[in-house]
Amino acid sequence: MNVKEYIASGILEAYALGSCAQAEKEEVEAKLAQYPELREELRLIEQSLGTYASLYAKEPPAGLQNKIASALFGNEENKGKVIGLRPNALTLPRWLAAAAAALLLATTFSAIVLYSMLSDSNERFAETEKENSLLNSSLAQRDSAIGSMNKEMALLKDPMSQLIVLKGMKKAPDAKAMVVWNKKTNEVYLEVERLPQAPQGMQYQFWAIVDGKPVDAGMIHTDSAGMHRMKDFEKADAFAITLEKEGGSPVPNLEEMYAMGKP
Amino acid sequence: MAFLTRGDRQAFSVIYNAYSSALYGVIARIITDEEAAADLLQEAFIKIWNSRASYDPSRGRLFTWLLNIARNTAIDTTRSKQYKAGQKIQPIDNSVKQVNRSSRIAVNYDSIGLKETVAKLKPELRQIIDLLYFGGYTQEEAAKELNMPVGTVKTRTRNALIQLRELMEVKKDER
Repeated sequence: MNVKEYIASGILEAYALGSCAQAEKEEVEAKLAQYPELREELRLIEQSLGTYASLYAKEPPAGLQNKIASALFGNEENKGKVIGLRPNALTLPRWLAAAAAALLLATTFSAIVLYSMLSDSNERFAETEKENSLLNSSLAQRDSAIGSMNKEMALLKDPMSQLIVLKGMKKAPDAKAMVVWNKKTNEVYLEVERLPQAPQGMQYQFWAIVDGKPVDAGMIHTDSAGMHRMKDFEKADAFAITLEKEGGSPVPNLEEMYAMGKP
Repeated sequence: MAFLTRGDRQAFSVIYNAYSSALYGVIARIITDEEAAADLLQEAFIKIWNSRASYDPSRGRLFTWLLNIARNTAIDTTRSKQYKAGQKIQPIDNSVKQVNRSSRIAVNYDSIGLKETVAKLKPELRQIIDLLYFGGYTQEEAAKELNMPVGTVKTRTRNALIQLRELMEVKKDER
């Protein structure tokens, strides 16, 4: 390949300007890896483009820095902790232990069943009892389920908590997730029960539909099980999960909706 | 840049102070509504923070990486169905906005401000940068828009950046 011709073709400029299609991008990146002259040329292009872009610099609104920092790091009360599993020994009332033991197909959905025994019945919960038959039975899952039950019981027992089951859409009919929404504190917790493995470079994103508009509720990290604290919401008409590119998107790709549920 | 890997609130402050006005400037050029631009800057920083492990210094400068995330965040919005339904895509206008000479960006462009630079750029070359960089057009789309062959667009793209490099007086040893 003639390096000079390649440079003269302007493909590196197009790459730096972000106007290459995915296939072209990959081609360019392969060539960049191979030829140091191309890397040097690109460096100069990117440098001048960066300088040009910074000429348009504009002061962001005051207070935005704090807002973003709060979103990333939380404020005093909200540390954004992941509520993980506690597979330690636990003490349950005898009747509860018996009920737990009886649920051989235990996953976290057993928490829903237990909750329905404890609280006033709600037609939402009747559905999930049928779903128990879909659940796998493995010792590890049962143990982790019993452990996480402890934490989730606390959440669910709170009368201000609302449970929403997100059911699979056409994309993945078996997809399932559970949302616990504390209406008093506005805290929203998401536990993914089942989602297809996200392809490389893609990531699941959680949304709340507020006044008909989808609002980002946080990225989903499927590598850790259990309940995850997501963004707080005072009101929402529905919750949904879409598949986006890694890092997320400001607006959902509605063609990649995997699960949805209404409070 | 070590700050990025640190990932704590202080590191964020350093990066925000150094780069936010450049990133916001690019976003605001693409999405002119100020409130939307502010939201997008937040989106961009969240993406930046969540994907900071994927920044590869051997592939380019941090500033380039940050700019691309900010730019792509804004361009993606212009492509969303909701955005298109809600408003026309902002036409690339030729009015030169007042630049805020942020001293945070240490750029060796001496006294060349936006107005002067833009005035020196040949109009047809500036148009290409606007369409491709701020408009998110591919070269094929730009060719259709400008009613010219793709080859011409490619030549202009090359020439635009050559002229830009001359204007920016990019030196090889610049950091």
